[in-house]
Amino acid sequence: MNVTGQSILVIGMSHVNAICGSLDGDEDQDIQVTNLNKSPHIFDRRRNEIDCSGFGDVQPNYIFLSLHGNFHNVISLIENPVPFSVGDTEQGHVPGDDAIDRVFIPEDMMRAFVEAELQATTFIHFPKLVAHFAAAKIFHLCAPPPSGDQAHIRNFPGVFKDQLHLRVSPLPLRLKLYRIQCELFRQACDQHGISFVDVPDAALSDSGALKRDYWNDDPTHGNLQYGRLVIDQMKAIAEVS
Amino acid sequence: MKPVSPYSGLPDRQFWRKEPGIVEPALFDPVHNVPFRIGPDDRIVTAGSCFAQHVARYLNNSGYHHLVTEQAHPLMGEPIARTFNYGTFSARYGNLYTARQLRQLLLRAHGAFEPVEKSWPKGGGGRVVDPFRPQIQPHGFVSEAELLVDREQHFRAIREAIRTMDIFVFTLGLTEGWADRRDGAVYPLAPGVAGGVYTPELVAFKNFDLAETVEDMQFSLDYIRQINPNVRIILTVSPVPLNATFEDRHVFQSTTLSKAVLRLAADEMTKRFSHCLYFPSYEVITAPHVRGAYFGPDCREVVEEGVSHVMGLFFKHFTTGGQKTIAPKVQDNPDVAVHLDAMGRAIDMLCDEEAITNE
Repeated sequence: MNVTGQSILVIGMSHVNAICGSLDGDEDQDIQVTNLNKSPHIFDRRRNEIDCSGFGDVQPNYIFLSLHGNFHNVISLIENPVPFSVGDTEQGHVPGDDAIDRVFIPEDMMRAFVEAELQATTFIHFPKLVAHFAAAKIFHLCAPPPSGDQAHIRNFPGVFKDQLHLRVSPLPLRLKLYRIQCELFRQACDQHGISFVDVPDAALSDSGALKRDYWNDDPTHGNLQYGRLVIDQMKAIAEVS
Repeated sequence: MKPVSPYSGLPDRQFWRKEPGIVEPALFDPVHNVPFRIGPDDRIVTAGSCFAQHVARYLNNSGYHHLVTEQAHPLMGEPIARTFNYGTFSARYGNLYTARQLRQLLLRAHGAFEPVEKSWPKGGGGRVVDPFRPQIQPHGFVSEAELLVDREQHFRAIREAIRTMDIFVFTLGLTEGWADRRDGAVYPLAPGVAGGVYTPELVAFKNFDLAETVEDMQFSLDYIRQINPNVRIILTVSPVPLNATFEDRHVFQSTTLSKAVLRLAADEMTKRFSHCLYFPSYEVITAPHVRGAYFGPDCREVVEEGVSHVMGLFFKHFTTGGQKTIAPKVQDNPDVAVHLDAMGRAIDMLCDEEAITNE
Protein backbone atom coordinates (compact mmCIF):
# COMPACT_ATOMS: atom_id res chain seq x y z
CA MET A 1 0.00 0.00 0.00
CA ASN A 2 1.37 3.36 -0.92
CA VAL A 3 0.18 6.57 0.65
CA THR A 4 0.82 8.87 -2.23
CA GLY A 5 1.72 12.36 -1.19
CA GLN A 6 0.95 11.59 2.45
CA SER A 7 4.07 11.53 4.54
CA ILE A 8 4.37 9.76 7.89
CA LEU A 9 6.92 10.52 10.55
CA VAL A 10 7.36 8.00 13.35
CA ILE A 11 8.95 9.43 16.47
CA GLY A 12 9.89 7.23 19.36
CA MET A 13 12.44 5.30 21.29
CA SER A 14 13.32 1.62 21.27
CA HIS A 15 9.96 0.33 20.02
CA VAL A 16 10.52 2.10 16.70
CA ASN A 17 13.46 -0.22 15.97
CA ALA A 18 11.06 -2.96 14.88
CA ILE A 19 9.36 -0.49 12.53
CA CYS A 20 12.60 0.90 11.19
CA GLY A 21 13.97 -2.56 10.48
CA SER A 22 10.87 -3.58 8.56
CA LEU A 23 10.55 -0.64 6.20
CA ASP A 24 10.50 -1.60 2.55
CA GLY A 25 12.43 1.07 0.70
CA ASP A 26 10.06 1.40 -2.25
CA GLU A 27 6.78 0.54 -0.64
CA ASP A 28 7.35 2.64 2.45
CA GLN A 29 9.17 5.59 0.99
CA ASP A 30 6.74 8.03 2.58
CA ILE A 31 7.56 6.80 6.08
CA GLN A 32 10.42 8.32 8.04
CA VAL A 33 11.47 7.12 11.48
CA THR A 34 13.23 9.16 14.13
CA ASN A 35 14.62 7.21 17.06
CA LEU A 36 15.01 9.86 19.70
CA ASN A 37 17.55 7.75 21.57
CA LYS A 38 19.80 8.13 18.56
CA SER A 39 19.01 11.77 17.92
CA PRO A 40 20.87 13.78 20.54
CA HIS A 41 20.24 16.97 18.58
CA ILE A 42 16.52 16.48 19.31
CA PHE A 43 16.39 14.56 22.55
CA ASP A 44 18.59 15.20 25.58
CA ARG A 45 18.14 11.89 27.41
CA ARG A 46 19.88 13.00 30.57
CA ARG A 47 17.58 15.98 31.00
CA ASN A 48 14.62 14.32 29.32
CA GLU A 49 14.08 17.30 27.06
CA ILE A 50 12.97 17.44 23.45
CA ASP A 51 14.15 20.28 21.24
CA CYS A 52 11.73 20.34 18.31
CA SER A 53 14.00 22.58 16.27
CA GLY A 54 16.03 19.41 15.74
CA PHE A 55 13.28 18.14 13.43
CA GLY A 56 14.15 20.94 10.99
CA ASP A 57 11.51 21.96 8.50
CA VAL A 58 9.90 18.55 8.27
CA GLN A 59 6.12 18.91 8.30
CA PRO A 60 4.63 15.47 7.70
CA ASN A 61 0.93 14.83 7.31
CA TYR A 62 0.90 12.19 10.01
CA ILE A 63 2.92 11.78 13.15
CA PHE A 64 2.98 8.43 14.91
CA LEU A 65 4.53 8.71 18.34
CA SER A 66 5.94 5.71 20.16
CA LEU A 67 7.44 7.27 23.25
CA HIS A 68 8.90 5.10 25.97
CA GLY A 69 6.37 2.32 26.65
CA ASN A 70 8.51 0.01 28.76
CA PHE A 71 7.74 1.33 32.22
CA HIS A 72 5.34 -1.55 32.81
CA ASN A 73 8.30 -3.87 32.31
CA VAL A 74 10.40 -1.98 34.82
CA ILE A 75 7.69 -2.62 37.39
CA SER A 76 6.49 -6.08 36.54
CA LEU A 77 8.73 -8.07 34.19
CA ILE A 78 10.64 -9.53 37.14
CA GLU A 79 9.14 -10.14 40.56
CA ASN A 80 9.76 -7.28 42.96
CA PRO A 81 11.91 -8.17 46.01
CA VAL A 82 8.68 -7.48 47.92
CA PRO A 83 6.23 -9.35 45.69
CA PHE A 84 2.93 -7.59 45.12
CA SER A 85 -0.47 -8.14 43.61
CA VAL A 86 -2.60 -5.42 42.06
CA GLY A 87 -6.33 -4.80 42.48
CA ASP A 88 -8.60 -6.01 39.73
CA THR A 89 -12.26 -5.49 38.96
CA GLU A 90 -13.10 -9.11 38.20
CA GLN A 91 -10.69 -11.17 40.24
CA GLY A 92 -10.12 -8.85 43.18
CA HIS A 93 -6.39 -8.93 42.56
CA VAL A 94 -3.88 -10.36 40.15
CA PRO A 95 -2.14 -12.60 40.41
CA GLY A 96 -4.65 -14.23 42.72
CA ASP A 97 -3.66 -16.85 45.23
CA ASP A 98 -0.39 -18.21 43.88
CA ALA A 99 1.27 -19.40 47.08
CA ILE A 100 3.47 -16.32 47.24
CA ASP A 101 2.99 -13.90 50.08
CA ARG A 102 2.24 -10.68 48.24
CA VAL A 103 1.55 -7.12 49.38
CA PHE A 104 -1.75 -6.03 47.86
CA ILE A 105 -1.72 -2.71 46.01
CA PRO A 106 -5.13 -1.25 45.10
CA GLU A 107 -5.50 -0.66 41.38
CA ASP A 108 -6.08 3.09 41.79
CA MET A 109 -2.90 3.35 43.81
CA MET A 110 -0.80 1.51 41.26
CA ARG A 111 -2.38 3.67 38.57
CA ALA A 112 -1.41 6.82 40.49
CA PHE A 113 2.17 5.55 40.78
CA VAL A 114 2.49 4.68 37.09
CA GLU A 115 0.80 7.92 36.07
CA ALA A 116 3.23 10.01 38.09
CA GLU A 117 6.15 8.29 36.38
CA LEU A 118 4.68 8.56 32.88
CA GLN A 119 3.75 12.17 33.41
CA ALA A 120 7.31 13.02 34.35
CA THR A 121 9.02 10.98 31.65
CA THR A 122 6.63 10.87 28.72
CA PHE A 123 3.42 12.86 28.77
CA ILE A 124 5.43 15.96 29.53
CA HIS A 125 6.56 15.92 25.87
CA PHE A 126 3.07 15.89 24.37
CA PRO A 127 2.31 19.64 24.42
CA LYS A 128 5.59 20.56 22.75
CA LEU A 129 5.20 17.94 20.00
CA VAL A 130 1.56 18.81 19.38
CA ALA A 131 2.43 22.49 19.08
CA HIS A 132 5.39 21.86 16.78
CA PHE A 133 3.48 19.58 14.43
CA ALA A 134 0.28 21.61 14.54
CA ALA A 135 -0.52 20.91 10.89
CA ALA A 136 -0.22 17.15 11.25
CA LYS A 137 -2.64 14.59 12.53
CA ILE A 138 -0.94 13.00 15.52
CA PHE A 139 -1.28 9.44 16.76
CA HIS A 140 0.42 7.49 19.50
CA LEU A 141 1.19 3.82 19.04
CA CYS A 142 0.48 1.50 21.91
CA ALA A 143 3.54 -0.37 23.10
CA PRO A 144 3.54 -4.11 22.38
CA PRO A 145 2.12 -6.29 25.14
CA PRO A 146 4.18 -8.72 27.22
CA SER A 147 5.06 -12.06 25.75
CA GLY A 148 2.97 -14.85 27.20
CA ASP A 149 5.69 -17.28 28.05
CA GLN A 150 7.93 -17.06 31.09
CA ALA A 151 10.31 -19.58 29.51
CA HIS A 152 10.93 -17.22 26.60
CA ILE A 153 12.01 -14.49 28.98
CA ARG A 154 14.20 -16.90 30.90
CA ASN A 155 15.77 -18.06 27.63
CA PHE A 156 16.38 -14.54 26.38
CA PRO A 157 16.90 -12.53 29.53
CA GLY A 158 19.40 -10.19 27.89
CA VAL A 159 20.13 -7.32 30.21
CA PHE A 160 17.79 -8.76 32.84
CA LYS A 161 19.87 -11.85 33.52
CA ASP A 162 21.12 -10.45 36.83
CA GLN A 163 17.55 -10.06 38.04
CA LEU A 164 16.32 -13.50 37.01
CA HIS A 165 16.97 -14.96 40.45
CA LEU A 166 13.89 -13.01 41.53
CA ARG A 167 11.85 -14.96 38.94
CA VAL A 168 9.80 -13.75 36.02
CA SER A 169 6.45 -12.37 37.13
CA PRO A 170 3.31 -14.31 36.27
CA LEU A 171 1.68 -13.21 33.02
CA PRO A 172 -1.52 -11.89 34.65
CA LEU A 173 0.55 -9.43 36.69
CA ARG A 174 2.56 -8.34 33.65
CA LEU A 175 -0.63 -7.90 31.65
CA LYS A 176 -2.23 -5.92 34.48
CA LEU A 177 0.59 -3.41 34.57
CA TYR A 178 0.65 -3.23 30.80
CA ARG A 179 -3.08 -2.48 30.65
CA ILE A 180 -2.82 0.18 33.32
CA GLN A 181 -0.05 1.80 31.30
CA CYS A 182 -2.11 1.61 28.10
CA GLU A 183 -5.14 3.23 29.76
CA LEU A 184 -2.98 6.06 31.05
CA PHE A 185 -1.47 6.64 27.62
CA ARG A 186 -4.97 6.69 26.13
CA GLN A 187 -6.15 9.24 28.69
CA ALA A 188 -3.13 11.47 28.25
CA CYS A 189 -3.48 11.30 24.48
CA ASP A 190 -7.15 12.26 24.72
CA GLN A 191 -6.22 15.27 26.81
CA HIS A 192 -3.74 16.47 24.18
CA GLY A 193 -5.76 15.77 21.04
CA ILE A 194 -3.62 12.78 20.11
CA SER A 195 -5.32 9.65 18.75
CA PHE A 196 -4.25 6.52 20.59
CA VAL A 197 -3.67 3.48 18.37
CA ASP A 198 -4.22 0.03 19.84
CA VAL A 199 -1.90 -2.90 19.18
CA PRO A 200 -2.89 -4.66 15.94
CA ASP A 201 -5.41 -7.40 16.71
CA ALA A 202 -3.39 -9.90 14.74
CA ALA A 203 -0.54 -9.56 17.25
CA LEU A 204 -2.63 -10.52 20.27
CA SER A 205 -3.14 -13.95 21.74
CA ASP A 206 -6.44 -14.91 23.37
CA SER A 207 -5.09 -13.73 26.72
CA GLY A 208 -4.05 -10.36 25.30
CA ALA A 209 -0.34 -11.18 25.33
CA LEU A 210 1.94 -10.83 22.32
CA LYS A 211 1.65 -13.83 19.98
CA ARG A 212 4.69 -16.05 19.72
CA ASP A 213 5.25 -15.03 16.08
CA TYR A 214 6.07 -11.50 17.21
CA TRP A 215 8.43 -12.20 20.11
CA ASN A 216 11.81 -10.63 19.80
CA ASP A 217 14.91 -12.23 21.28
CA ASP A 218 14.73 -9.82 24.17
CA PRO A 219 12.00 -9.72 26.78
CA THR A 220 10.35 -6.40 26.04
CA HIS A 221 10.12 -5.58 22.32
CA GLY A 222 8.31 -6.82 19.25
CA ASN A 223 10.31 -8.30 16.40
CA LEU A 224 10.52 -7.24 12.75
CA GLN A 225 7.30 -9.04 11.87
CA TYR A 226 5.61 -7.02 14.55
CA GLY A 227 7.15 -3.91 13.06
CA ARG A 228 5.64 -4.85 9.71
CA LEU A 229 2.21 -5.22 11.25
CA VAL A 230 2.49 -1.76 12.76
CA ILE A 231 3.66 -0.24 9.47
CA ASP A 232 0.61 -1.65 7.70
CA GLN A 233 -1.57 -0.41 10.52
CA MET A 234 -0.17 3.12 10.24
CA LYS A 235 -0.64 3.19 6.48
CA ALA A 236 -4.22 1.99 6.81
CA ILE A 237 -4.94 4.71 9.34
CA ALA A 238 -3.33 7.34 7.13
CA GLU A 239 -5.36 6.21 4.17
CA VAL A 240 -8.70 6.61 5.90
CA SER A 241 -7.84 9.73 7.85
CA MET B 1 -1.09 22.59 113.23
CA LYS B 2 -4.73 22.14 112.37
CA PRO B 3 -5.67 22.94 108.73
CA VAL B 4 -7.88 25.94 108.20
CA SER B 5 -10.06 24.04 105.77
CA PRO B 6 -10.04 20.70 103.92
CA TYR B 7 -8.40 22.53 101.00
CA SER B 8 -5.46 23.72 103.01
CA GLY B 9 -2.15 22.45 101.66
CA LEU B 10 -3.57 21.02 98.45
CA PRO B 11 -1.47 21.47 95.32
CA ASP B 12 -1.82 24.59 93.18
CA ARG B 13 -3.25 22.63 90.25
CA GLN B 14 -6.45 22.08 92.20
CA PHE B 15 -7.15 25.81 92.37
CA TRP B 16 -8.39 27.75 89.39
CA ARG B 17 -6.68 31.03 90.11
CA LYS B 18 -3.30 29.36 90.67
CA GLU B 19 -3.16 28.16 87.07
CA PRO B 20 -0.34 29.96 85.18
CA GLY B 21 -2.35 29.58 81.98
CA ILE B 22 -4.69 32.34 83.13
CA VAL B 23 -1.92 34.83 82.51
CA GLU B 24 -0.01 32.99 79.84
CA PRO B 25 -2.18 30.58 77.80
CA ALA B 26 0.83 28.68 76.49
CA LEU B 27 1.62 27.62 80.06
CA PHE B 28 -1.75 25.96 80.57
CA ASP B 29 -0.99 22.41 81.65
CA PRO B 30 -3.73 20.24 83.15
CA VAL B 31 -1.68 17.03 83.00
CA HIS B 32 -0.31 15.38 86.12
CA ASN B 33 0.28 12.02 87.78
CA VAL B 34 1.24 10.21 84.63
CA PRO B 35 1.84 6.61 85.77
CA PHE B 36 4.00 5.47 82.87
CA ARG B 37 6.32 6.81 80.20
CA ILE B 38 6.68 6.03 76.54
CA GLY B 39 10.16 5.12 75.37
CA PRO B 40 11.49 5.40 71.84
CA ASP B 41 11.15 1.65 71.34
CA ASP B 42 7.57 1.39 72.52
CA ARG B 43 5.26 0.53 69.64
CA ILE B 44 2.37 2.98 69.63
CA VAL B 45 -0.92 2.27 67.91
CA THR B 46 -3.26 5.18 67.20
CA ALA B 47 -6.96 5.08 66.44
CA GLY B 48 -10.08 7.15 66.86
CA SER B 49 -11.66 10.27 65.49
CA CYS B 50 -10.04 12.80 63.23
CA PHE B 51 -8.16 14.49 66.09
CA ALA B 52 -6.26 11.22 66.53
CA GLN B 53 -4.71 11.89 63.13
CA HIS B 54 -2.81 14.78 64.70
CA VAL B 55 -1.44 12.49 67.39
CA ALA B 56 -0.31 10.02 64.73
CA ARG B 57 1.25 12.79 62.66
CA TYR B 58 3.27 14.15 65.59
CA LEU B 59 4.42 10.67 66.54
CA ASN B 60 5.53 10.03 62.98
CA ASN B 61 7.59 13.21 63.03
CA SER B 62 9.11 12.92 66.45
CA GLY B 63 11.22 9.81 66.57
CA TYR B 64 8.78 7.68 68.53
CA HIS B 65 7.63 4.38 67.15
CA HIS B 66 4.23 4.93 65.62
CA LEU B 67 3.51 1.34 64.72
CA VAL B 68 2.14 1.14 61.20
CA THR B 69 1.30 -2.44 60.35
CA GLU B 70 -0.59 -1.65 57.16
CA GLN B 71 2.09 -0.06 55.05
CA ALA B 72 2.00 0.83 51.41
CA HIS B 73 4.23 -1.26 49.18
CA PRO B 74 7.67 0.41 49.23
CA LEU B 75 7.40 1.11 45.50
CA MET B 76 4.72 3.67 46.13
CA GLY B 77 6.55 6.46 47.93
CA GLU B 78 5.30 8.85 50.56
CA PRO B 79 2.96 11.22 48.67
CA ILE B 80 0.94 8.45 47.04
CA ALA B 81 0.88 6.41 50.24
CA ARG B 82 -0.47 9.43 52.08
CA THR B 83 -3.13 10.06 49.45
CA PHE B 84 -4.37 6.52 50.00
CA ASN B 85 -4.30 6.96 53.78
CA TYR B 86 -1.44 4.63 54.56
CA GLY B 87 0.18 5.75 57.79
CA THR B 88 -2.64 8.11 58.75
CA PHE B 89 -3.28 5.62 61.54
CA SER B 90 -1.59 2.35 62.40
CA ALA B 91 -3.83 0.61 59.88
CA ARG B 92 -6.17 1.93 57.22
CA TYR B 93 -9.31 1.95 59.33
CA GLY B 94 -10.00 5.64 58.81
CA ASN B 95 -11.76 7.55 61.55
CA LEU B 96 -13.35 5.52 64.33
CA TYR B 97 -15.77 8.01 65.83
CA THR B 98 -17.79 5.89 68.24
CA ALA B 99 -16.87 3.29 70.83
CA ARG B 100 -19.22 0.88 69.08
CA GLN B 101 -17.13 1.22 65.91
CA LEU B 102 -14.00 0.26 67.84
CA ARG B 103 -15.76 -2.74 69.32
CA GLN B 104 -17.07 -3.93 65.97
CA LEU B 105 -13.76 -3.34 64.21
CA LEU B 106 -11.98 -5.58 66.69
CA LEU B 107 -14.62 -8.27 66.21
CA ARG B 108 -14.58 -7.98 62.42
CA ALA B 109 -10.78 -8.11 62.25
CA HIS B 110 -10.77 -11.28 64.31
CA GLY B 111 -13.56 -12.97 62.36
CA ALA B 112 -16.12 -12.70 65.13
CA PHE B 113 -18.54 -10.40 63.32
CA GLU B 114 -19.33 -10.31 59.63
CA PRO B 115 -21.73 -7.51 58.75
CA VAL B 116 -24.39 -8.09 56.14
CA GLU B 117 -23.36 -5.01 54.21
CA LYS B 118 -20.19 -5.67 52.23
CA SER B 119 -19.90 -2.53 50.12
CA TRP B 120 -21.66 0.63 49.05
CA PRO B 121 -21.87 1.79 45.43
CA LYS B 122 -19.83 4.85 44.55
CA GLY B 123 -20.77 6.68 41.40
CA GLY B 124 -21.03 4.36 38.42
CA GLY B 125 -19.05 1.65 36.72
CA GLY B 126 -19.22 -0.83 39.56
CA ARG B 127 -17.06 1.24 41.87
CA VAL B 128 -17.69 0.79 45.57
CA VAL B 129 -16.60 2.14 48.92
CA ASP B 130 -16.07 0.28 52.15
CA PRO B 131 -19.08 1.22 54.33
CA PHE B 132 -16.81 1.08 57.37
CA ARG B 133 -14.14 3.43 55.97
CA PRO B 134 -15.84 5.13 53.05
CA GLN B 135 -13.15 7.73 52.46
CA ILE B 136 -10.07 5.52 52.72
CA GLN B 137 -9.45 5.72 48.96
CA PRO B 138 -10.04 8.94 47.00
CA HIS B 139 -12.33 7.28 44.47
CA GLY B 140 -13.27 4.08 46.24
CA PHE B 141 -12.40 0.60 44.99
CA VAL B 142 -12.74 -0.62 41.43
CA SER B 143 -15.10 -3.40 42.53
CA GLU B 144 -16.40 -5.24 45.55
CA ALA B 145 -13.98 -8.05 44.74
CA GLU B 146 -11.06 -5.65 45.07
CA LEU B 147 -12.45 -4.20 48.29
CA LEU B 148 -12.69 -7.67 49.83
CA VAL B 149 -9.05 -8.42 49.01
CA ASP B 150 -7.98 -5.11 50.49
CA ARG B 151 -10.10 -5.73 53.59
CA GLU B 152 -8.41 -9.06 54.16
CA GLN B 153 -5.00 -7.36 54.16
CA HIS B 154 -6.44 -4.61 56.38
CA PHE B 155 -7.72 -7.08 58.97
CA ARG B 156 -4.38 -8.89 59.05
CA ALA B 157 -2.71 -5.55 59.77
CA ILE B 158 -5.15 -4.79 62.60
CA ARG B 159 -4.56 -8.17 64.21
CA GLU B 160 -0.82 -7.63 64.06
CA ALA B 161 -1.13 -4.12 65.51
CA ILE B 162 -3.26 -5.29 68.43
CA ARG B 163 -0.97 -8.23 69.12
CA THR B 164 2.33 -6.33 69.04
CA MET B 165 1.58 -2.84 70.34
CA ASP B 166 2.94 -1.54 73.63
CA ILE B 167 0.78 1.60 73.78
CA PHE B 168 -2.76 2.08 72.50
CA VAL B 169 -3.89 5.69 72.02
CA PHE B 170 -7.60 5.96 71.33
CA THR B 171 -9.47 9.23 70.77
CA LEU B 172 -13.19 9.11 71.39
CA GLY B 173 -14.96 11.39 68.97
CA LEU B 174 -18.73 11.04 68.72
CA THR B 175 -21.76 9.35 70.18
CA GLU B 176 -23.95 9.77 67.09
CA GLY B 177 -23.82 7.21 64.35
CA TRP B 178 -25.81 5.15 61.87
CA ALA B 179 -26.54 1.50 62.44
CA ASP B 180 -27.70 -1.18 60.06
CA ARG B 181 -31.11 -2.41 61.20
CA ARG B 182 -30.31 -5.97 60.12
CA ASP B 183 -27.29 -6.65 62.30
CA GLY B 184 -26.43 -3.49 64.19
CA ALA B 185 -23.30 -2.77 62.18
CA VAL B 186 -22.34 0.85 62.81
CA TYR B 187 -21.06 3.08 60.03
CA PRO B 188 -18.81 6.11 60.47
CA LEU B 189 -20.92 8.11 58.03
CA ALA B 190 -24.54 7.79 57.02
CA PRO B 191 -25.05 6.08 53.68
CA GLY B 192 -25.40 8.72 50.99
CA VAL B 193 -22.77 11.03 52.46
CA ALA B 194 -19.65 9.50 50.89
CA GLY B 195 -21.07 6.58 48.95
CA GLY B 196 -23.99 4.26 49.36
CA VAL B 197 -27.67 5.03 49.20
CA TYR B 198 -29.68 6.23 52.16
CA THR B 199 -32.47 3.73 52.70
CA PRO B 200 -34.38 4.44 55.91
CA GLU B 201 -35.66 0.86 56.02
CA LEU B 202 -32.07 -0.40 56.30
CA VAL B 203 -30.30 2.10 58.53
CA ALA B 204 -31.30 3.85 61.71
CA PHE B 205 -29.85 6.81 63.57
CA LYS B 206 -28.25 5.88 66.85
CA ASN B 207 -27.04 8.18 69.61
CA PHE B 208 -25.10 6.05 72.07
CA ASP B 209 -25.74 6.98 75.69
CA LEU B 210 -23.29 6.81 78.56
CA ALA B 211 -24.13 3.23 79.55
CA GLU B 212 -23.72 2.00 75.99
CA THR B 213 -20.46 3.88 75.47
CA VAL B 214 -19.01 2.59 78.72
CA GLU B 215 -20.08 -0.94 77.84
CA ASP B 216 -18.55 -0.69 74.37
CA MET B 217 -15.28 0.68 75.74
CA GLN B 218 -15.19 -1.95 78.47
CA PHE B 219 -15.73 -4.67 75.88
CA SER B 220 -13.09 -3.25 73.53
CA LEU B 221 -10.39 -2.81 76.14
CA ASP B 222 -11.11 -6.25 77.60
CA TYR B 223 -10.85 -7.70 74.12
CA ILE B 224 -7.54 -5.97 73.49
CA ARG B 225 -6.11 -6.98 76.86
CA GLN B 226 -7.05 -10.59 76.26
CA ILE B 227 -4.84 -10.54 73.19
CA ASN B 228 -2.19 -8.23 74.58
CA PRO B 229 -2.33 -8.20 78.40
CA ASN B 230 0.52 -5.74 78.90
CA VAL B 231 -0.62 -2.96 76.59
CA ARG B 232 -0.78 0.47 78.19
CA ILE B 233 -3.74 2.58 77.20
CA ILE B 234 -4.11 6.32 76.71
CA LEU B 235 -7.61 7.67 76.11
CA THR B 236 -8.42 11.12 74.81
CA VAL B 237 -11.58 12.92 73.76
CA SER B 238 -11.60 14.86 70.54
CA PRO B 239 -12.15 18.59 71.06
CA VAL B 240 -13.60 18.93 67.56
CA PRO B 241 -17.32 19.83 67.76
CA LEU B 242 -19.92 17.87 65.83
CA ASN B 243 -20.22 18.88 62.21
CA ALA B 244 -23.91 18.02 62.26
CA THR B 245 -26.42 16.40 64.56
CA PHE B 246 -29.39 14.29 63.63
CA GLU B 247 -31.04 15.10 66.97
CA ASP B 248 -33.72 17.78 66.83
CA ARG B 249 -31.70 20.38 68.69
CA HIS B 250 -28.88 22.81 68.12
CA VAL B 251 -25.66 21.17 67.03
CA PHE B 252 -23.77 22.75 69.91
CA GLN B 253 -26.10 21.20 72.45
CA SER B 254 -25.45 17.84 70.84
CA THR B 255 -21.74 18.58 70.94
CA THR B 256 -21.67 19.27 74.66
CA LEU B 257 -23.77 16.20 75.44
CA SER B 258 -21.66 13.99 73.22
CA LYS B 259 -18.38 15.20 74.67
CA ALA B 260 -19.71 14.85 78.21
CA VAL B 261 -20.66 11.23 77.58
CA LEU B 262 -17.29 10.47 76.03
CA ARG B 263 -15.40 12.23 78.81
CA LEU B 264 -17.29 10.28 81.47
CA ALA B 265 -16.77 7.00 79.63
CA ALA B 266 -13.05 7.67 79.40
CA ASP B 267 -12.92 8.48 83.08
CA GLU B 268 -14.76 5.29 83.90
CA MET B 269 -12.24 3.25 81.90
CA THR B 270 -9.34 4.72 83.87
CA LYS B 271 -11.02 3.47 87.04
CA ARG B 272 -11.72 0.01 85.67
CA PHE B 273 -8.43 -0.72 83.91
CA SER B 274 -4.90 -0.62 85.21
CA HIS B 275 -2.34 1.26 83.14
CA CYS B 276 -5.14 3.13 81.44
CA LEU B 277 -5.13 6.89 81.69
CA TYR B 278 -6.86 9.92 80.30
CA PHE B 279 -4.91 12.59 78.46
CA PRO B 280 -6.76 15.95 78.54
CA SER B 281 -6.36 17.11 74.96
CA TYR B 282 -10.04 18.09 74.95
CA GLU B 283 -9.46 20.33 77.95
CA VAL B 284 -6.40 22.05 76.49
CA ILE B 285 -8.19 23.05 73.31
CA THR B 286 -11.48 24.10 74.89
CA ALA B 287 -10.23 25.70 78.11
CA PRO B 288 -11.16 29.36 78.73
CA HIS B 289 -7.45 29.93 79.36
CA VAL B 290 -6.70 29.75 75.66
CA ARG B 291 -9.60 32.11 74.89
CA GLY B 292 -10.86 30.15 71.90
CA ALA B 293 -7.61 30.77 70.05
CA TYR B 294 -7.17 27.10 69.22
CA PHE B 295 -10.22 26.93 67.00
CA GLY B 296 -10.08 28.05 63.39
CA PRO B 297 -12.34 30.59 61.69
CA ASP B 298 -15.14 28.03 61.48
CA CYS B 299 -15.07 27.65 65.29
CA ARG B 300 -14.59 23.91 64.77
CA GLU B 301 -11.28 22.94 63.23
CA VAL B 302 -8.36 22.89 65.65
CA VAL B 303 -5.51 25.07 64.47
CA GLU B 304 -1.91 23.92 64.40
CA GLU B 305 -0.98 26.04 67.41
CA GLY B 306 -3.52 24.14 69.50
CA VAL B 307 -2.36 20.77 68.29
CA SER B 308 1.19 21.83 69.04
CA HIS B 309 0.24 22.80 72.60
CA VAL B 310 -1.50 19.46 73.13
CA MET B 311 1.31 17.38 71.68
CA GLY B 312 3.92 19.41 73.51
CA LEU B 313 2.25 18.36 76.75
CA PHE B 314 1.96 14.81 75.48
CA PHE B 315 5.70 14.56 74.88
CA LYS B 316 6.55 16.45 78.05
CA HIS B 317 4.56 14.16 80.31
CA PHE B 318 4.47 10.82 78.53
CA THR B 319 7.86 10.41 76.98
CA THR B 320 11.29 9.83 78.36
CA GLY B 321 13.10 11.86 75.74
CA GLY B 322 10.71 14.73 75.16
CA GLN B 323 9.78 15.97 71.72
CA LYS B 324 12.28 15.57 68.95
CA THR B 325 12.00 16.83 65.44
CA ILE B 326 13.04 14.39 62.81
CA ALA B 327 11.92 13.78 59.27
CA PRO B 328 9.00 11.40 58.92
CA LYS B 329 10.12 7.87 58.36
CA VAL B 330 9.72 7.00 54.71
CA GLN B 331 8.65 3.41 54.29
CA ASP B 332 11.42 2.59 51.95
CA ASN B 333 13.03 -0.73 51.31
CA PRO B 334 16.59 -0.72 50.03
CA ASP B 335 16.05 -3.96 48.11
CA VAL B 336 13.09 -2.49 46.27
CA ALA B 337 14.92 0.73 45.46
CA VAL B 338 17.94 -1.19 44.17
CA HIS B 339 15.74 -3.49 42.13
CA LEU B 340 13.79 -0.63 40.59
CA ASP B 341 17.00 1.15 39.71
CA ALA B 342 18.49 -2.01 38.21
CA MET B 343 15.37 -2.68 36.14
CA GLY B 344 15.28 0.91 34.90
CA ARG B 345 18.93 0.77 33.90
CA ALA B 346 18.43 -2.59 32.21
CA ILE B 347 15.53 -1.20 30.19
CA ASP B 348 17.66 1.80 29.24
CA MET B 349 20.47 -0.48 28.11
CA LEU B 350 18.08 -2.69 26.21
CA CYS B 351 16.44 0.27 24.56
CA ASP B 352 19.82 1.35 23.27
CA GLU B 353 20.29 -1.91 21.47
CA GLU B 354 19.30 -2.38 17.90
CA ALA B 355 19.09 -6.14 17.94
CA ILE B 356 15.69 -6.94 16.52
CA THR B 357 16.56 -10.24 14.99
CA ASN B 358 14.43 -13.32 15.12
CA GLU B 359 12.06 -12.78 12.28
